[in-house]
Amino acid sequence: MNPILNLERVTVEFVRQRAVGRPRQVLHAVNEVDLEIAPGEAVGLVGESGSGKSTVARAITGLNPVTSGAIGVDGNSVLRAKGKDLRMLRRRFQMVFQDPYSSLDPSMSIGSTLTESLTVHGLERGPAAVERAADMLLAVGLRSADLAKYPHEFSGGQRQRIAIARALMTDPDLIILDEAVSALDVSTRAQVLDLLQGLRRDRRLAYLFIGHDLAVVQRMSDRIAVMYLGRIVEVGPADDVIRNPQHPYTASLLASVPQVGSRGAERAAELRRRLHVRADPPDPWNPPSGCAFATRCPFVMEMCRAETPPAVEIASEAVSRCHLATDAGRGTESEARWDRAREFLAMPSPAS
Amino acid sequence: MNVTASRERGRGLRQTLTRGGGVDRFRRQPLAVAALVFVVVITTVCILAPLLTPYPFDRGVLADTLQGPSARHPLGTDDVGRDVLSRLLYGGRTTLLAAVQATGFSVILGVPAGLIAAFAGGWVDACLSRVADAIMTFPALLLAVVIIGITGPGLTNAMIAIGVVYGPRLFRVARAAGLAVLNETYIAAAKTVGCSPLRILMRHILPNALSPLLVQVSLTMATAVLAEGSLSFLGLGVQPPQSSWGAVLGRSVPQMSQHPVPVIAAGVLISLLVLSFNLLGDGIRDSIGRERKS
Repeated sequence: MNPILNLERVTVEFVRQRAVGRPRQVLHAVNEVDLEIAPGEAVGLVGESGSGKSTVARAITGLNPVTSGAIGVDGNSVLRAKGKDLRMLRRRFQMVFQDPYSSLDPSMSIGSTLTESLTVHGLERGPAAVERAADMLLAVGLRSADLAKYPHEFSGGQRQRIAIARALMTDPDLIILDEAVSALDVSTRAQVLDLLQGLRRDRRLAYLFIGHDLAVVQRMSDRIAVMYLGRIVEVGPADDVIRNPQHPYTASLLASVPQVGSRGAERAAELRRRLHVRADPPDPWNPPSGCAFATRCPFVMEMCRAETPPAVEIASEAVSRCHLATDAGRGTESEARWDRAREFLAMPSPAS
Repeated sequence: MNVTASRERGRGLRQTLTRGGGVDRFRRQPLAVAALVFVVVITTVCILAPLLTPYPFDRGVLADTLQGPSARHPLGTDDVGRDVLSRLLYGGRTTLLAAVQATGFSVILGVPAGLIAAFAGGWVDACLSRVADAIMTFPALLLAVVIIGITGPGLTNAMIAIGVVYGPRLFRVARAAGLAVLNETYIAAAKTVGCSPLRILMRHILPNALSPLLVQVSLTMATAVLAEGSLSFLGLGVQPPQSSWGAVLGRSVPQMSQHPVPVIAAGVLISLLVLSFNLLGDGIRDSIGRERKS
C-alpha cells in the first residue's frame, strides 16, 4: 500500500555563529531520516531529549524548514508546495502538542478554535461548522455546551481532548502526537490514550506518536523508530524493538527505564549493569565522528569511531544503524567483543 | 492548611471559575477603579456640555468680567465675561478629542508596524525598529511647535505630530508583546491548522497582545492631555474663541493673583485627568500577566 507520508533523507540543520569572526557552526537536528507511514499505521518515535524527535514532527508540519531531503504525501512533495497548496496538503496531517496549557489560544472560545480550521480551508461555515465542532467535542468526550467556554475553564486532560478535536476537524489522515500525553498525570493519561486508540480504530487514522515513555509508545504503536542525535538508529515492529532491541542505544534506553513490579526485573538489572550509559550525550554542535553513539556505547569497537554505520535491514521491516548488525566486526581485533555484544543483544547470526 | 492559605486558594479558584479573571483583579484596585470612574464621568460630562451649561462657551457678558465664584457662575467668569465652568466643560471636549487624536494616530502608526516587525523578524524588524528609534529621538513638543510654525496654529496638526513621536512607544510595546505571543504553542498550532499569516496576526497575535497595548494607550493618553495643555497654554493650540483646558489656564494666568479660581480649576482638572490615565494604565497592567497561566 502507498504510504501516506514518506520521509526521504530528511535533514534539518540549524546554523549559529557564536561571535563575529568565529566560524559558523551547523547542527544536524535531523540527519538523513527515512521514514514511511502507511495509512492507518501508528509509528512511535522515541529517543532522549535533544535527539530530534520533535524537529521531525515540526519539519513534517512545516514549522521548521527542511534543509534537504524530501517529504512526500501521496506522491506530492510538501517541500515544493507553496502558499495555499501547502496549506491544503497540511490539512492532511495535523498535530497535537505537548503542553495543553499553551497550545490553545486563550483569547478564543473552544467553538472558534475548532471551527477555525474549517473556515480556513473553506470546508464549512456558519451553523454547519458549529455543528461539526459540537460533534467533534462529543467524539472526544466533552459536551457541546463547552463550545462557548474558554481554554482556562478546562483541566489539562480536557484541554488535550480539545487539542485532539481541533486536529481532527480537518479530517486528517495522519496525526502527529508530539509528547501529547507527557504533560498529563497518570490517570488522565490513560483516558486520553484510550481515546486516541478508539479514534484511530473508528477513523482509520495514522499516528506518529512521539514520546519518551517506552511503555506508552509500545502500547500505542505498530512500529517504533528510535532516534539518537538526529538519526534514526533502529526501526522495527513495536514489540520486537521493546522486547529484543538490536541497537545498543535502544537497549540502554530500555535498561534505563525503572521497572515497576518484579516481571523481568532480573533481566532489567542485568541490562542496567551492562548498559549503564556512560557520560552525557555529546554536544550536538560538535558530534563525534563515526557512530554518534560511540562515545557512550558499552560495545564500542574501533571502527565505530571511524565510520558511520550504514542502515542495515536486520529482519523484515526492521533496520538498525550499528556495526554490530553487519559483518564488519568479524575478523578484526575486536571480534571477541563483537561476538559477546551480539550474544548479549541476542542478535541472530548474520547471513554470511 | 491555615485560614489565610485556604482563603487565598478560594480566591484563586474563584478567579479560574469566573470568566475574565483580569476584570476581577482590576476591580480589586480602588485607585484604578476611581481613575476609571473619573475618566468616564469627565468624558460624559464634557460630551453632554451643551445640555448641562446655561452659558455659551464663546460669548461673554462684558458687564460681568472677572467675577469670583457665585451662584450664577460657580467658577466665576473670565476677562471677557464668559462663564469659566462652561468653558471648562466645552474645553474638556477639545482636550479629550486632541488626546484621542494623538493616541489614535500613534496606535495606527505603531501597533500594526510593531506586530509586523515581530511576526516578520529579520531585516523587516531591523528596518522598522531603526525607524522607530530615529523618530523617538525627536522631542515631541518641539516637533509639534515646528509643525504649528509651518502650518499655522491648530490642534489637529499638532496632535498628529505628537502622535507620530509617540508612535514608537506603541511600536515597541506591540513588538515585544507580539514576540512573546509568537513563541506560544498556539501560534504553531494555528500554522499547522493552516491559518494564513494575516489571519494569525489578526486573530491570534493581536488579541493576545492587547492587554499591554491597553496599558500603553492609557499612558499615551495622559501624555497627550499634557501636550495639548502645554500647546494651548502657549497659545499654539486651539485659537479663541475655542476653549480647552490648556487655553482656559493660559487665559487666566495673567489675573491669577486676583482671580485664582479658574487657574486652580483648570490646573486641577488637567492634573487629575493625567493622573487618572496613569493610574488606569497601572491598574490594567496589574490586572494582566498572570492571566496566561491561570
